[in-house]
Amino acid sequence: MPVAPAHGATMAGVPVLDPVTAPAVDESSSTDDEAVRPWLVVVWDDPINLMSYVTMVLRRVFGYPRERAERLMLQVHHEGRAVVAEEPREQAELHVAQLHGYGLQATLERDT
Amino acid sequence: MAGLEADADGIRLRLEVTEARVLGSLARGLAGRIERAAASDVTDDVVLEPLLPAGSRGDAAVDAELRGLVRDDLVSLRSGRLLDLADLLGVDEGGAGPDADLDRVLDPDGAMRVVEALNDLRLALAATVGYAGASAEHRDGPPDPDDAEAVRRSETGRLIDALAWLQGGLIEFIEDD
Repeated sequence: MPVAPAHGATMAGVPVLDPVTAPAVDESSSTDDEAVRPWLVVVWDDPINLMSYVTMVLRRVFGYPRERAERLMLQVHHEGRAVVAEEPREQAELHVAQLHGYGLQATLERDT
Repeated sequence: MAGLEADADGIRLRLEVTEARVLGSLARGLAGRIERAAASDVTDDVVLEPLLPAGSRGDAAVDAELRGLVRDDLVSLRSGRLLDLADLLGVDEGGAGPDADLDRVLDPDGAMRVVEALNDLRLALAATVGYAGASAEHRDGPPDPDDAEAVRRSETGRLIDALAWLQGGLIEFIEDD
């Protein structure tokens, strides 16, 4: 992480802005950041969905190879939940809907 | 007794007539329950909770938005395949049938439809009794025969586990294809 210059100091003759007189933060840039920040697709453990079924569904919905799908399934099983994808909101919504269609308990979360 | 065996054209599913009748009735009954709830905008049916799940935990706005987007599609998807299962098993709209044991060969797509419908049934059955899983049922031991509710829970748990066996066998066939 870079160290901030001292107040009034310059870097190669370029004055550093005094924080008191610095222009206000551009709100549109933080909105843009939020727009591109990925959303998380989370699958939750439950006592009904079979491990083989969860693995198969993850392969069908996301196209994951068997090994990755099994690894995620085991994480759901042992830890109670797993992030199975990080993607733009629209795609994440579609995938959560597909997982719901298969009966998995899946939710959408903002990536913090 | 239910059975699965490999066949040249797919997987052969055999069910005794009583098994097919019970399973088909459950499928048709659940399809009707889903459709009635959707038509009346019911949102607090505990049996339907796992079938129309939350879109977010902790963000009510995201949850509401996602539910609104997918609810109708989920309803028609679920009721459609449950009714297909009932038709496969020979249980008609009036709840009658079948008259004979079931002996059908399923291709991979057909088997997948059955797998998905069985999953819906298991989710709904579990919700009716607060089922906590096969290991929990095993750990708790047999129910007190004088406790009607405990007996019902135990019988429902055994049905859920039996359907799990059927579902697992079909998944093995599909994944081997």
